Amino acid sequence: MSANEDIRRRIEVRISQGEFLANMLHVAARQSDEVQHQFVSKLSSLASVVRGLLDNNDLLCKLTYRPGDFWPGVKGKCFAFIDGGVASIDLPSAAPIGIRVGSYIVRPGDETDRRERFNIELALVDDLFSKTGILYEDDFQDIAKLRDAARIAGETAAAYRLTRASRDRPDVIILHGPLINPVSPYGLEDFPPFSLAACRKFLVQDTWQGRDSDRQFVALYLELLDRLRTTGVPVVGVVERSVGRDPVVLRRILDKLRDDGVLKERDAKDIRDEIILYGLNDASLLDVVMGEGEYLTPIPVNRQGPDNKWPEPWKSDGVIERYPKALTTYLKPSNLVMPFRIEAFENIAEYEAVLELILHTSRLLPSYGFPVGLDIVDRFAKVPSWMSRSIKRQHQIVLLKKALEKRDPRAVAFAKRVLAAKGRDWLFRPSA
Amino acid sequence: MDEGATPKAEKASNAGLRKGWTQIGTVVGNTSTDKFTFILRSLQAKLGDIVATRVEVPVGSHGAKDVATVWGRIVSIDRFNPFFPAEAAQELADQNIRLLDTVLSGSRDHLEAEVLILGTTFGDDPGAAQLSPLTYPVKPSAEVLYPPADAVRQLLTGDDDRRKPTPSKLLIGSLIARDDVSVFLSAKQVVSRHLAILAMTGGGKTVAARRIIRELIEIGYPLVIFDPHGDYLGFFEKRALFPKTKIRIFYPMIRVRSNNVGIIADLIDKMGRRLSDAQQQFYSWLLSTTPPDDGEAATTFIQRMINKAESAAKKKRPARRLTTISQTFVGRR
Repeated sequence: MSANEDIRRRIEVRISQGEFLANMLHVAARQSDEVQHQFVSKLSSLASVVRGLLDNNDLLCKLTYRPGDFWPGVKGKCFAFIDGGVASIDLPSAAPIGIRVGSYIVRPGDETDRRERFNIELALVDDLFSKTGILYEDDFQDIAKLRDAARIAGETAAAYRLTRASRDRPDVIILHGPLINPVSPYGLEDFPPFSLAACRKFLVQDTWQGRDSDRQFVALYLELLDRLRTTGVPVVGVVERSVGRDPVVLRRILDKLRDDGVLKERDAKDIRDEIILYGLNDASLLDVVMGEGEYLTPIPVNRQGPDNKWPEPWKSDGVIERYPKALTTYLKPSNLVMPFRIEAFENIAEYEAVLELILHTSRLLPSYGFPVGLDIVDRFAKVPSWMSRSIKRQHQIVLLKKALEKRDPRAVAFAKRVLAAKGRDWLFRPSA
Repeated sequence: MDEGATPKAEKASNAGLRKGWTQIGTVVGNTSTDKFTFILRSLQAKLGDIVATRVEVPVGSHGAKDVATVWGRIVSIDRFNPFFPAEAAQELADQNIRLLDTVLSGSRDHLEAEVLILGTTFGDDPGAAQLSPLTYPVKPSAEVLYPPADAVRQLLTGDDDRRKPTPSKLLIGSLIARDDVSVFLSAKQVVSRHLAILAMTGGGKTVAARRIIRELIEIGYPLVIFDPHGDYLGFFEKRALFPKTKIRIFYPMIRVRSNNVGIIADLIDKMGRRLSDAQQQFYSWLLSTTPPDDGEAATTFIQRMINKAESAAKKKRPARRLTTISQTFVGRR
């Protein structure tokens, strides 16, 4: 069967499925009748072009699923899977955070009690960004962003912590989510720094002293990534769902082909425009382009976006510029499932062996098609609602106690607000 | 009773109670005064086990409270592994690979046990008081404890062992799940009150009754057993095992008169052996040639009939058939 026939067959299979249907609806809502009518045929020819480019430029590799040989071959190796869970706490306090980062460490073929180990590598129940640890008085209101920043730092810190372990030091660490995240959203001027205690916990260094700027997410995350990269332990991030419609990796490949003189500037632009016109992101186009066990030749991608969007002062200080690129690929474990993104540091050792591990762990969930170790650690690290409630209660108690101790009317009023938790309560009626 | 028990007091009380008591799980989910569910630690208890937990319950006047020990029996245990997806099991089977060789997890079984609450006791001594109904639900997150055999035994026997002289007890067996906890009945209660043993067919009513009778024999209670089915003939057959007791067996006396001679045929019927037509004919001949003496014991009358039949057989019939008839009468006597 030719590559084009393969593509057509895959499109036919996908035509009634969620992602595809969503793209068709996206096109229907935004584009002309002609574009709508030609969706399938255009997509087919676009996918054939991309397939041809990948094939002719050695940008596609293939792994074979051979569980009978693979698993005995990794007997006794130590693999770690990491994921973070965030408690959902809604308090009028600025940044109550309940985060825990779990790890699942497993040695295939080991029949002793050491075979598998579940551990909470980091558990932070704190007002992470508060200077005093009591009341957060900053003006930054986007709590979701604060939590995200804490989770991202926490997950990277957990991986770093594992590389320093004297026992069960992993041969490979696999994170749930991107290895390198865009940092601009967390680099805004009023984004508060982490507390010193949280930073020390993240860096596994009780004596660490950092200025306010060092404790900012952008600086601290870079420090963590640098430390993690220099350990030499292969670390990858596996991204379950591709969100957004920007085909970042395909754009990067087209740029590379243009730079290498394979594509003319105009041709590269036409292909890119067409991908965007049809609302396709990397995963949805590669889903019909790639076959079972195939992956893109890894390509370094700058995850920090265009520098004109980098916030000051991180731009002028050159901090964001120093962020490592993510060596990125997409792997399609089987014909049943969509490909997913895998990120690594550029200096990663034995990348193909790691990808083979990811393929084989993904095939253990045939219809979900995602590394089963990450599915396991995801369930383990998830913060259940009963735990979130307990964390909330603990926050309320500490806050009220401290407020009463301080005898500060403002703090007491704030604590009352926290306890009442409803804005339009009689307690908050405007005074005359 | 501890009015307004403080957490400190409860902690101290728990510490006292837990001496030698193993923590085997934690209460989860919705609880009631009838039952609760707990997550059981691996291999720490099994179906039918008696377990305990502690709960603060309101007592007496408004606001007063006390710490009660809640006793219950495990009535079901569910086991599941949330980290082992079903589709992975299918893949392992399809590819003929072992779970241990992959990165799948097989060690995080969850055991969820349901407990039927039996009642509560107060104070640190489980045998100190009667088991009373629980009046306040068990606390979710409470520790579930595995009581040592002595505590369970004491709970089941109450104050019996403390009285002097010790009241007579009948050993009837051990708890289903704990052969280290013997179960007794009060001999006095059994013999001075009514006792019914109720169970479905094959449920062990006769075995239980035999056990109780044996224990009563051991402590020298006089007994009369009405045994229409012969279930308890074993006591007579193995009377050598009970040297201190004289075991005798009595049969009812049936007398035969000319107006009730048909009773012999009824007895044969009731014993489940219908006579064949030829046997019936021979039997009728025997009856007509062997008239009963008025008020004669049925056994004597039957013996006379057998003698008559045998002498007739010697003259006319093969011996084999006569043996069958005599067995019919004599073997079931």
